[in-house]
Amino acid sequence: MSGPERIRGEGLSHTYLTRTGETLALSNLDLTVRHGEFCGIVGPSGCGKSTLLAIICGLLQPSEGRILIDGVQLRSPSRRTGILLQKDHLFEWRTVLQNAELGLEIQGTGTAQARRRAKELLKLYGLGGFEDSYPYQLSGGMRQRVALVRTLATDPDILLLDEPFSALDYQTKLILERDVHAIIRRNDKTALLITHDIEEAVSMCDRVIVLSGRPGKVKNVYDIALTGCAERTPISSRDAPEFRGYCKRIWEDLEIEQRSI
Amino acid sequence: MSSAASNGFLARGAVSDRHARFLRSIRLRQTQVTVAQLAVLAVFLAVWQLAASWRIIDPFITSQPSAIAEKVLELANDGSLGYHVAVTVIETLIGFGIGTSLGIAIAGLFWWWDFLSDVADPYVVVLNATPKMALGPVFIIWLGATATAVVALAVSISLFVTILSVYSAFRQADPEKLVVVSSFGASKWQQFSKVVFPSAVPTIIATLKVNIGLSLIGAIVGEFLAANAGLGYLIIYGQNIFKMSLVMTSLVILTVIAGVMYYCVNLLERYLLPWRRS
Repeated sequence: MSGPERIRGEGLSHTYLTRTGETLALSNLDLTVRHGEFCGIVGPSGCGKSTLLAIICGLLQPSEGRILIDGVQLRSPSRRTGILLQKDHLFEWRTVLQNAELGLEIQGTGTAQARRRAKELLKLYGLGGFEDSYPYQLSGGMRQRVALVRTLATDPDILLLDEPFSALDYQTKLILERDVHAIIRRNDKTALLITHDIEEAVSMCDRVIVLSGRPGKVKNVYDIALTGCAERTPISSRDAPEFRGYCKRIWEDLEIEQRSI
Repeated sequence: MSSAASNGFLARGAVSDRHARFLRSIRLRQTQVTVAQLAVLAVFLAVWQLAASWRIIDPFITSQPSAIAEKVLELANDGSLGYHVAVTVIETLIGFGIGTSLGIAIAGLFWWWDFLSDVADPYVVVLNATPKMALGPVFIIWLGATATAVVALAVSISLFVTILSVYSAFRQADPEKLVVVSSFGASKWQQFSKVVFPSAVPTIIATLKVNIGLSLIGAIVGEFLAANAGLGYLIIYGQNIFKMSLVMTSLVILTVIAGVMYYCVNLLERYLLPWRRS
């Protein structure tokens, strides 16, 4: 990938302060994600993945270093980025359509226009006919799809995915991985996927960054080059001859980390 | 038509024989419960009436249902029933409205500015624990023996408990939902209006249910102390002239009012919380 840089983190460090002391969560981390790239971040628990995500979202200012989105230093959440979290966090008091419109509503898009866009996307992603349902009436996979539509409705260029598939059953997870991957590719978006799941990272990403245990630092970077699949999807990737090898190497990186905790 | 349609009103709307049996069994139970509830009331009234007629109990002390019914008609005819009911209901509703809305507004202010809430915390807790009835004489001295003093008492009784419970609900709003709206660039006001307030609506409804009862207590006690109108006044007046039928009549009407008000809040709940699974 050689497109322009979309996300650039320089010397990111973050320390959490409490009454009893301080915890270093991230230490001097550099990161670059280029346009159109699907970049994965894996690491042992407590390696500061969530901290990193909050920083890239602009929800948390790093103690040291800086984060640039399209070359501009980030100080508050950018409209160019959208997030998808582990839980769908649908608002149970809103209907599916009202949930899908949330971002547009906050960003001040006119009601009629927001409604049209949300309806279009819901239909496109297989939720047509459920506009007036409440979240409790939907399955886990459908709920996560609504959350995806909510994020895509504001048309962000960069998607930050924080373990968005980990709460789903295996089959739903594969289908949603495939769909999200296709949506990001088709619409020429840039994605950063944070996950525990090594196979998910290797099957979806062009590049996987392995973080070390606390404090989080870059331990290894793998460019994922898979052969033998005409069109790369998270499902076809799993059949590539190189797939197992990447998973094994990343697993070994992480195992050493887990042992040292 | 199948036999499902001919099974009488208990099976109305059935789509099959099996469904008809199911509907009949649940509706039969509902009917039994309602009949039993009415029977309890009827037996109670009959025993009361007969015991008083046969002088097993003294109707001068206990009154009796027929006397209460007569009294209700008498008060209705001379227009004083509607007047006293209206006074009590209006005082209660104003006290309820002010206490609840002011309480929610202050809770919102505390959420917005947590320094203020930290400073105010011990005062709100102590004021909440203070028996508000004890403030009655204070309000009467400040505001006179007027409806205003009665309303003030009704407000004071619901205000602090509203602040405490609604503020606690505001603080329990899901932080990840706040992350979701913040990622869209939500302002603090949008965080409040899109996440914090809607999350607290179930708690607010529960608070309304408590407050409607509390405000009625406040209004009645206020009328005991100060007023010359309202059901609380009628009760005290009945006590002073030793007319038990007047006291009992006022009590019965008061019970009906409390029931109607509670029912209205329940209707409001169904309207405001359609997303609650039934």
